[in-house]
Amino acid sequence: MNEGKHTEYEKLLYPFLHEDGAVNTEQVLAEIQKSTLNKCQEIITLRKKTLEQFGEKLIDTGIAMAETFSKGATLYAFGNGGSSTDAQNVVVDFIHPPYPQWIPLPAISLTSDIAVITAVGNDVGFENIFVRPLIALGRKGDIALGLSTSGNSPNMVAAMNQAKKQEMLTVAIAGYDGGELASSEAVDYCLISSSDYVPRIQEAQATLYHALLEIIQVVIRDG
Amino acid sequence: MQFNRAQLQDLVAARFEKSIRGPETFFAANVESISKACWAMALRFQQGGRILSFGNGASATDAHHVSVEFVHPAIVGKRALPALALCNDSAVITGSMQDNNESKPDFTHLLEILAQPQDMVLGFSSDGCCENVLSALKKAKKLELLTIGFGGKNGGGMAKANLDYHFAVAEADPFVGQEIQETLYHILYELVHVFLEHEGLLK
Repeated sequence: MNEGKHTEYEKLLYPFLHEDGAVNTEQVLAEIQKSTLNKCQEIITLRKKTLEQFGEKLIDTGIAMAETFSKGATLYAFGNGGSSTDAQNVVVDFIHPPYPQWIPLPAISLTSDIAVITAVGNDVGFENIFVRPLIALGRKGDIALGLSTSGNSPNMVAAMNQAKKQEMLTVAIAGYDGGELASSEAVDYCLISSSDYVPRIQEAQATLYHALLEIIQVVIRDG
Repeated sequence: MQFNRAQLQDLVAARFEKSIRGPETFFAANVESISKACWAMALRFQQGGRILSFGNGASATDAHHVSVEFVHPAIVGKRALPALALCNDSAVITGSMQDNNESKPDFTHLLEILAQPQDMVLGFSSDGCCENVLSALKKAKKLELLTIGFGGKNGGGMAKANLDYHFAVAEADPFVGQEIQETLYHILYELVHVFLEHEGLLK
């Protein structure tokens, strides 16, 4: 065991790694079980907080998106890393809704085309990987949906600025304190899972976008 | 407009309520097998094994998500671990469907070609019934890979596949089930590292 390798955070989270003497498997399994249940409580707490802080804004966002879809909008979703998979998750839930009574809505993920991403990244820089396809595909009255845990990814901020320039509806789902996206004038709606721990942020964001999908479907159906 | 704000407030409250209530039941019931799955995965990594993950539709995005968590951990300082999402390459996926005249991506064929003996497979199916996911998990079992299934409410065929670890999320709502699966694979990723940082446990 190398004590020096562990951060203060890890020492707090996994105290058994730092006790004197040998650690046995049973002890570690027991600690891991305790840690699992703690993490479960963390997500429960974060979802409660997210609902409390952003429940009303979530409804405003869903209504605005539904009205934009009703006028013929296509949605473009994007994110980096795990958030790119969340962007694709939102898109597949729009195109192939999991509930039979829901209608499919036009949505495209900007993270699925590796030819475009590597071409733009290589030629003009990674901060432009979403900007460029938005210029090519995006139209006035479309929707840009960006997912970011930090709210500060340069390619996300640049994409929001570009989408606003093209008169699109801009929606961001962020974590921490929302970062630059929360204060950006280019972002119409910013929903935040206020946590500083990425896995839990993404899990609470999933509930946010799942609720958003449901609001949009209901408003379009009844609107 | 027919909808009113109170109706939408109820809808949002109900969705969050399901997403808040769901994890407690699931993790209380599965906490022991989760810890053992972490250990089994850490042992495989220690032996040079890789994660091969797969799923269809929304579950394909979970296969991608879990893969990137291991390859590029968001928690600073954690080591990069080998993981591949088998639903990643549209040329490979559409090619295998065309060659075999299949209506579903053929993950079994990919396992036959790519899998190495120490590998572990993570198969995702929101109801536990996706035929191509089940078929690949069964193939993995025959190849003696570590098999971990992320399944759904009644277990489906996944419950009968004799997997090393089968996590059935007993939620009727597919969104809630998927959210619990996400917390589960995040926790696996977070806690596998605990064993890897403690090599004495991996002998």
